[in-house]
Amino acid sequence: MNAYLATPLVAAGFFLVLVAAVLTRGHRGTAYRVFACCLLSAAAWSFLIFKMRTSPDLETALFWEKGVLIAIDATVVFFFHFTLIYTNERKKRLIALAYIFLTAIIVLSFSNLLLHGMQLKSYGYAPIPSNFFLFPCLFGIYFFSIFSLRYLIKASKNSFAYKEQQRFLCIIIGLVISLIGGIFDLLPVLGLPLYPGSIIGNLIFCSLTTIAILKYHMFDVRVAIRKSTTFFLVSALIAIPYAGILVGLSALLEDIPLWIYLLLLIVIAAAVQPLWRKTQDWVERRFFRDRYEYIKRLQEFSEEATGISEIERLAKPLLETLSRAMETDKAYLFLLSPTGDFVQHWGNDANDLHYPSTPFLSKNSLFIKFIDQHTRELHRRDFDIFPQLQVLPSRERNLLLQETKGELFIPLKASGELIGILILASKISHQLYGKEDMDLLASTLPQIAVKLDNARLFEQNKRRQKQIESINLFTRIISSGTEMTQALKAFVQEIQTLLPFDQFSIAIKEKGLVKGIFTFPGMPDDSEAGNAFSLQKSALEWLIQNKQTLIENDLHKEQRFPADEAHAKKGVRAIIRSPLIAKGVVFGELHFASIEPNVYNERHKDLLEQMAVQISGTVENIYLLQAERETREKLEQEIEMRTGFLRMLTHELNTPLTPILSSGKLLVEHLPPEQEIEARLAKNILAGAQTLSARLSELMDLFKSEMGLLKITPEVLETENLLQRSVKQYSPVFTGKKQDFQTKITPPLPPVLADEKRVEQILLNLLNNANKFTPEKGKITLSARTEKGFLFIEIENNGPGISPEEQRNLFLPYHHSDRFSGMGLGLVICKQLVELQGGKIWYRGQPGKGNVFSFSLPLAKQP
Amino acid sequence: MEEELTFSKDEVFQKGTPSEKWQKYCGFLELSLEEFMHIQESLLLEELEMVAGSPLGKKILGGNKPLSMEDFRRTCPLTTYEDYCPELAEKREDILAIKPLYWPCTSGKGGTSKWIPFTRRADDIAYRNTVGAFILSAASQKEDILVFPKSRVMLNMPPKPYFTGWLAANFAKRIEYRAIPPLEEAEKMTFVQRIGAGFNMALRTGVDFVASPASVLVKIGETLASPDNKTPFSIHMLYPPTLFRLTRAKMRCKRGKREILPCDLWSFKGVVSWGTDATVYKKKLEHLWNREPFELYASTETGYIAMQAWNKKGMSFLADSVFLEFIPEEEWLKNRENKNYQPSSVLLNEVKPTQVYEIVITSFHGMPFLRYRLGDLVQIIALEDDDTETKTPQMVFKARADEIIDIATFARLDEKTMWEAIDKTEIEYEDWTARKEYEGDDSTIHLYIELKSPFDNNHLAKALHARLKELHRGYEDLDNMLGIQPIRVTILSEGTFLRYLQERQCAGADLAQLKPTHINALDHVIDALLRLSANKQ
Repeated sequence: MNAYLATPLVAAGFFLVLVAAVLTRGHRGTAYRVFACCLLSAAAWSFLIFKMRTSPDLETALFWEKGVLIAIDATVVFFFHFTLIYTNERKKRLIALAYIFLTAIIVLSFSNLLLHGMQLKSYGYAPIPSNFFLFPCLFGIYFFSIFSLRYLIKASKNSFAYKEQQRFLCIIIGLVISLIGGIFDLLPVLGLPLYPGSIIGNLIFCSLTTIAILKYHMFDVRVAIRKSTTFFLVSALIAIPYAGILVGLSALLEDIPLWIYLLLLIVIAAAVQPLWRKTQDWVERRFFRDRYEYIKRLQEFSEEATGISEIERLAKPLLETLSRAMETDKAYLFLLSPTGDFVQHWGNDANDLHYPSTPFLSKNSLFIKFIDQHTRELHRRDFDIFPQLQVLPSRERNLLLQETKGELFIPLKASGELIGILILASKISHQLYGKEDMDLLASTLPQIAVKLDNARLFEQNKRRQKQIESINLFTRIISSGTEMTQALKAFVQEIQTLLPFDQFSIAIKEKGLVKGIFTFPGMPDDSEAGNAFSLQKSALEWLIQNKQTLIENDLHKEQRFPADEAHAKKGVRAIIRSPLIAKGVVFGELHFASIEPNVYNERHKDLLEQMAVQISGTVENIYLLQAERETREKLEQEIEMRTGFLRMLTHELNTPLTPILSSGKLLVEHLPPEQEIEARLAKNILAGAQTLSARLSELMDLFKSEMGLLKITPEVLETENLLQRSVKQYSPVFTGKKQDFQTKITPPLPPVLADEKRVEQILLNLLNNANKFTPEKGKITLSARTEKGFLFIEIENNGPGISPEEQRNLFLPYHHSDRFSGMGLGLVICKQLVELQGGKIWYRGQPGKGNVFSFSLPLAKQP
Repeated sequence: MEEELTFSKDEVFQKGTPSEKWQKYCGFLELSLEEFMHIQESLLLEELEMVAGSPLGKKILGGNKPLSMEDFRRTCPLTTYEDYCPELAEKREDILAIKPLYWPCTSGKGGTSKWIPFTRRADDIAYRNTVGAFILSAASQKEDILVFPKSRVMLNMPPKPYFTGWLAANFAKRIEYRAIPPLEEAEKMTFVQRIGAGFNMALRTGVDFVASPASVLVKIGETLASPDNKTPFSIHMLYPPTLFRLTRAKMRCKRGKREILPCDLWSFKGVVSWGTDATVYKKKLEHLWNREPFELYASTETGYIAMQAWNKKGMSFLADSVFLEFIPEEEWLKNRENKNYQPSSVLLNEVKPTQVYEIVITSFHGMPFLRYRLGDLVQIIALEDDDTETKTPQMVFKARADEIIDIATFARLDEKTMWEAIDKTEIEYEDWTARKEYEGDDSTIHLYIELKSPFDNNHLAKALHARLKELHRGYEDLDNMLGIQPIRVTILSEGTFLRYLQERQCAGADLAQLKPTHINALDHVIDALLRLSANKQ
């Protein structure tokens, strides 16, 4: 058994293995089944060749050769059918034609029309073809093969998936090799002295096709070609000198010593690696040409970038290098911002190097969520495939596909977290990004992503630090002065460095209204000239409900609140508002407005929210303080006004009363007893004037007590003496009504801290009441005792008592018993006076069981 | 005159790998519930952005512009088509957010038509879902794509201006498929003519897919399989493919020792159907056409709302068609009793299995409907489907909300239940309609039915009563606990429904008004049926 005989047998076995692989892996599809038939035909073809080559005579060889012919045609027809299915070409008529051709060949093969016989060549048997062999047989074979090639090339060109293109390319290469091998089989038949090579060609073709249709991760054909070229070149560079040296040495020496062989082997072993590298470089330069430099630079970028902490210094050269390496003219970089959104981006397009700093994609965007979870890069066509991307809002879709003209979207991850997105536009040559491109990106971007993330974090920290410093400064400014306007003016000066605005105001919620309390630079905010307006449907109401910062990007495009119309008329385009929150409740808003549209972004939102948190408490305190001061001022004015009135009233009433009193007294004193009537009249006048004076006095006291102006002068007071004096003063009154007035005072009574005149006033008032409300011959008792640091004085009488309803109003002004005249002010004033001196006053009694009025005074502290 | 609508060819369909095709058209089955809800919210906010500023949007929202999903659900009232009138009825485009691509119509109450402005983007989504429906109807597992360019599709669906007509026409502009019969010819035919022409043509060309109301397929199938069916010889039968098909069918039925069945003539890859009859006729269709019907849930106002997976069990909702809310049955009942009661709703991630809900939709893609009550009841049968690894709730169509017969609050019978009960009696009938009537104070279910062969109506009533007891527990309780047997039957004379159809056609009625509704037909419809039945007699 030599190679000539073994090869077709081995090939047949190999084809059967391929059949098993195809049927096992892809048995369900029609395409796979048809291809399996093609492989079976190829196996039959190889086996029949073996049988033909091992035939004992020409006749037997002819018999097998006829079978070979049928098997060849069957292979071609089945492959053609497979191609049409695989490339989705629905050419039913062509398929029918192919099978008709096969049927014809089968029929013709059994006659001697195709082959006249067999002949013996140097390598073995060869057929003697007839004219029918060339047409239709040979023609048919090549016709269907060429058409297969045509459809495969068409499908490869029309494919918009790189993997699919590689598959078709693989099959095409295999088919071409098979056709070349077929020519090597045909030429010896036609008389040329060549070795038949179709078996080898067939092996390669079937292997490549099987791999192409079964293998999911298809190798890159271009990479394979490059590596093969490198391999062959290196092999040649080693083999040629090696052979040359051996030939030269064998010419010079009879016997080449072993050590020369060993030396040559050592030299070759040492030279392989550097030679391979150099050769690979040379091959890649030839393949990639201009791109080669940039690919190398990209691969080295990660090392060069070490130590660079500014994002811009990293991003710009990265994008330039990347664009050249990937042969595109547009590349964009989007990085994660502190708020979680992807807001900062750079492009390498000269016209749009620095976009305005508006938010790009929210962290909640479907695109961001999807690309974060997706394990690989996204292509433009994926936006038409994945359901999560099909439904992107128009704005995002336009941004990703129209404005950036993105073709490839690569997630940049550091420590498993998505920190950025790289967007590449299509290649300048309009070719698809292939596996090689993906491998290049996969090998370089992870490290670059780490560098970018470090730079991003570094910048973020810097910005954060500045923000914290600013916020602390603001807080100090706000807290430093109680005069809010001054503090806020200073605050405004500082914040202008961080936030662009033309107007700033603070508004507070006050009883269902929105009230502006500060504006800068003095233009009115939502409220006009300090007037409040309704909270309903206002921006502050929205802030109260949602408790988050609100950005209105352009009032010319959209006005959310009724007040926005007025703002827009005044030239405002963009507004950012943040709630002021104290104890979990929104009480006001910070409001910044700009005459430029779209100036506010997530970064400003973040800053404002932090600021609002810091200063909310302070603003509220200052506001409350200011409110309290205003209230107090109003109150003082009110008190001043009333006091003035009181003084005026007192003066006006006392002025005529004084002469009446003095005249009355003099009259009573100087009238002779015999002028009884005149004397009585004079006494009446005096009594009336005295009563009026007393009422006036009570009224004044009441007014003063209500205004908080009633004053006492507490001093250490000997109570005993005071009580005795009062008793003595009032005893005649009791005697007049034949009332039994007794005292129960157990000396010594300790001194109290009280106002003597006022205590006297209280006693006299209570004794007067006791006298009034106790009937004739009734009993009145005055008692005094000390207990727990207080002196308790009680005035008891056996009067009719007071009903519970009347008891409730006892110490209220203007309530008096109907049985007696008076304004009902006495007990009220007694209560005020007692309480001012630190004591209490109360009543005890029931109807029909007498009355007890008691009051307490604090004892003077003993030194 | 219609503008020429331009569409680009669907490259994924033409050149995509099976995996890519599956992702694009059937990827909705693989969304997680979280992703589903995220898509819903995202598209809702985009929709509000679009329509809140339009005059119609302002009318419905009362001038408010909701800024969040919760805000929207709180402030926007539930609506019906009447709330969009007269603007939509007059096909006014100036009050819409986006100029529509076309105006399909559907039947409204009392024989009126409802005109719906369909936007370009909504049409794109509907197209995609149509392809998905065909793929899933034929698939036996994931990524099993049996729909190809130039597949043969029979569309037994109402033509323009109905939505299905527009869908079919625009479908053809995006992908190559062979419509049977060709669309240009079909548009000149009536619905009935179109069905006939389609099946005749199908004898020559074969058919890969059919989209048809199940009742039509059952009718055709039964006609073909009927022993009385004697198709006259025609020269067209000699056409080789037709001859081959007929011969093969004859051989199959001879082998099976039975009459010819439609599945002997055609091997459908997929049968797409919808409505109550798809479920009712499921077994019949399998027998006649050797194919389980693939069910979907759609409407003109919404496009597709849900469809089955390849295992043809429950239907999965589509995240990007409409925003979905569900009114629980108890809330729906309260609202039914008291029209002023505002029922609350839940979202898809809050539904519970076995519960029945009325579905409320808010359009996406610039369509105008906000919290729109479709008037349909659906039942959630499971929260997931383990077979297909679908992680979103599964539903079945229950009934039209106004097509329920309620007897003593025990039994709420819907069309499906009645239909199944009638079928289980095994009587042969032409058509039927049933409604609630009163005998004094007692409520009854009165069935008006046209039979194919004579039968005693009392026997039929008893048989129906027994079947309903088997099918519906509440109905069983009516008898067991209350001793109520509410079924009454009136047998209509032969040809009554056909005469009704002809009468309606002569009166120029809408396609959907040609037949009486099965449940709660209006008085004048019943009167007409009785009159036509009496006239025959």
